[in-house]
Amino acid sequence: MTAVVDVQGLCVRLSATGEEVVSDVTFSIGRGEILGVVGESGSGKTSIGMTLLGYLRKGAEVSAGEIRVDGTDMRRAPEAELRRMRGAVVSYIPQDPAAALSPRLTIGTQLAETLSAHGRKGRDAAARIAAMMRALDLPDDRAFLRKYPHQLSGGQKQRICIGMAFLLNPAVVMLDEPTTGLDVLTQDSVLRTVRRLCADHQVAALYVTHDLPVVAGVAHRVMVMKSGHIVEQGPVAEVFARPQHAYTRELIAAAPDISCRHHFGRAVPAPATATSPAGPPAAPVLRVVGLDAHYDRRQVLHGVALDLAPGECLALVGQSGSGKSTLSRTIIGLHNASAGAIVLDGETLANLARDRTPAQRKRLQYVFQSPFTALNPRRSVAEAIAAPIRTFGETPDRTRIAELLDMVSLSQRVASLYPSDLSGGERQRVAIARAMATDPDVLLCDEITSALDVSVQAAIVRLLKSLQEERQVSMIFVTHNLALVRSLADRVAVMQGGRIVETGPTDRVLDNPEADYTRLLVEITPSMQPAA
Amino acid sequence: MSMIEEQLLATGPADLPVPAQRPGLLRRALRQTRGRIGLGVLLAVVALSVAGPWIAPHSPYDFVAMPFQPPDAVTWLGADNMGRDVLSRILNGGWILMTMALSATALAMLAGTVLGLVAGYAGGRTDAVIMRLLDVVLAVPERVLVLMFVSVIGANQVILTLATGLVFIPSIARTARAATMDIVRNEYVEYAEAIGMSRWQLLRDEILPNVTTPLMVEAGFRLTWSIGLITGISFIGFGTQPPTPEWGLMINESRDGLLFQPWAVVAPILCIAAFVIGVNLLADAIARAAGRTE
Repeated sequence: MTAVVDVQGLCVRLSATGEEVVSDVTFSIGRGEILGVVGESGSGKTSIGMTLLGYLRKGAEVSAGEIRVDGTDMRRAPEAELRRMRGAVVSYIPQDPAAALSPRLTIGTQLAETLSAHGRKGRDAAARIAAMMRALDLPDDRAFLRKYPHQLSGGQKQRICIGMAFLLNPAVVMLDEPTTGLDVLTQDSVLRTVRRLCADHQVAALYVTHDLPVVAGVAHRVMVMKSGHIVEQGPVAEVFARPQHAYTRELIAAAPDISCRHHFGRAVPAPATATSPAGPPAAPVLRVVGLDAHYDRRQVLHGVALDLAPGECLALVGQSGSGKSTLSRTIIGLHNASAGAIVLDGETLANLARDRTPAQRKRLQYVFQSPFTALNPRRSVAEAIAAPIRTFGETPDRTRIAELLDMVSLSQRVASLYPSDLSGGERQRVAIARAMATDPDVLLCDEITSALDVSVQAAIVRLLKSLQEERQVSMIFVTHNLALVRSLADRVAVMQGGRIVETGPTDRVLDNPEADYTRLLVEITPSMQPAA
Repeated sequence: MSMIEEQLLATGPADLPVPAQRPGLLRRALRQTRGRIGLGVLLAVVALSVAGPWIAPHSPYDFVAMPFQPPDAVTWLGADNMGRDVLSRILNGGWILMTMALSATALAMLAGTVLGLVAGYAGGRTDAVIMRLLDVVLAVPERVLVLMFVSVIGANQVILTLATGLVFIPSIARTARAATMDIVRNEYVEYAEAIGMSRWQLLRDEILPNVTTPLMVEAGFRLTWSIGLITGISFIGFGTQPPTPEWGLMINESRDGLLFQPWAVVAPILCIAAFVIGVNLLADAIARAAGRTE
């Protein structure tokens, strides 16, 4: 196999401080080979990928090493040559297709631009686009090409970006976390498309991601990065089965996998309430009965019913658009239910949070998805945590805030800091501390780990488990990540199209799914374990 | 602390939290040359106006020389159309204009911010009603509307200040509303709703601190505009009334003598220009500092 990409001793540093963000990286990729690059945020994995395009973000520079792409020395090639190569020889598939496509141009125009930028126009170009659309499993008629990006789904947009990258039959493709924002079903189809196109066109691909199961499913070889260094590289199966480096083992340990229960470094006793056969089943702390909800005229929830036992963790899973977020927002009182009831310990709750009693609001707390918008940037951590306490008419004292910070394993020093001083994981801990400030009985967590690195996610999940055990908090954990469900939840409720299609104990649902939809979800969730 | 900051602090309904985490907007504005020059010019004009009444050689109302007396040892900038000392009138007239411009801007900022916050947060019918009412004000040219008020209700400083404040409300409300609508989508606002925080508290603690940046920029530009508007209206005789010394009015009173005693006209013009340019440069620096980071 001849190497299409050959990188020797690559170093990238920040021009301002001279700090090295990539140090002495050597790797090669052969024709038709997919190399997965895994590592956490800031490990330099994207910078490596960008050097293949002869591009680096402002303020960074290649300080040493050699980058050869299809025989061309990318460090010494003139700018005109680089421009010719980008798109034609080496192309790029971005993380966020919504930001990568221009909202003002039809997708047909944007695809044609890729070709015309390299001097291909007319009938030949149209035929090529049509062929690519078929290869992408997208409609190849003109009506579809006349659509604008906002008229497409996230998966379709990402496939258009993939199509653009493959249109000119490049020798190398760089993929930067292309499935991060997609749910499992879409992710599965995008991954299959990428794999097929790479094999068909014998393209060498560099696949940058932090999702280890995805790499296991898509890549031939894997390279593990930590703070700019390669700690390990080798064939995927070998690295995942017998990791040599301690950091690789750590990463694998932190990554939840659908096929086995992860303990995240802590022994988890069997949940007492949900599975104990002895004694009468405890009365549910929260009941949802026949809940309907609409967005304008469109019905998004259809007769949803749920029970949540005290101290139990219920995972609510489904694709984007399945109504799981609407359900949790309706429960917390941010969205109006049009029919049905939400019953908290025997009391039927009013539709909107404002109309509920303070006691009811106190017992039901919510942690939001994005650590970046969940905290007011102008409030210090201490003020953020004190806000709910103050709203419920109590005076937040120093010891209470210290206690709450301690509960989420944050140092006391954090109290006077602002959200912009904190990392994503730390912010999410603050959000959890804020929710715990009112001593709630039920905690709703809406995809709270989806924006975090695996090791941070593992730490947050560990924190939630300990809260559940020590404080007997019942939890509804909304997620699209089935792998996480196995490690966290006692029971699972699977949602599709605004209905719950299956509920049951986690192991039963994931091992012997009854509904077809659940079976599909389980099958396509990438796993690091070889298929049994 | 600059006047614009005082301005904003005066506008905030209660205690306006000071952003503590990164170099404040003002500090970033003052790192620019234009910001420093603006502040310097502004401080000079303000110092002159505040200290003016004490250091003025004569009373602004006393007839100390012949009308349109050219500058001499007694009247350093000469005399005006009635023989009053131009320098003394300049020194006494500054704080009147400043008070009027500042009060008008403060008034507009207070009302505009509250209306904008409420409209942006409430949305729906409340938003529509507030914004359509403000559109009515916006539909009439500023100068015409102010003239209408002073000519119908009364030509005096108070009415002129109130009218100037009123015509600036819509644009401030629009700025506040647009900024609020961006903030409202954030999950921390939803969280505040979910725990049942009162609407007033929510607007004050969660939203207002996050919209101060565009409002500060707006305040600076409104202050510049209000100076122009107030002096303009005074010039045509509908604002400050004689014999009160006021820079806009002084230009009008002495314009007949422009050829043989230009100082009586040029001095107030230079003062107004310095004031406007100072405020404008500083406001511009603030706008640039705001745009650079947020």
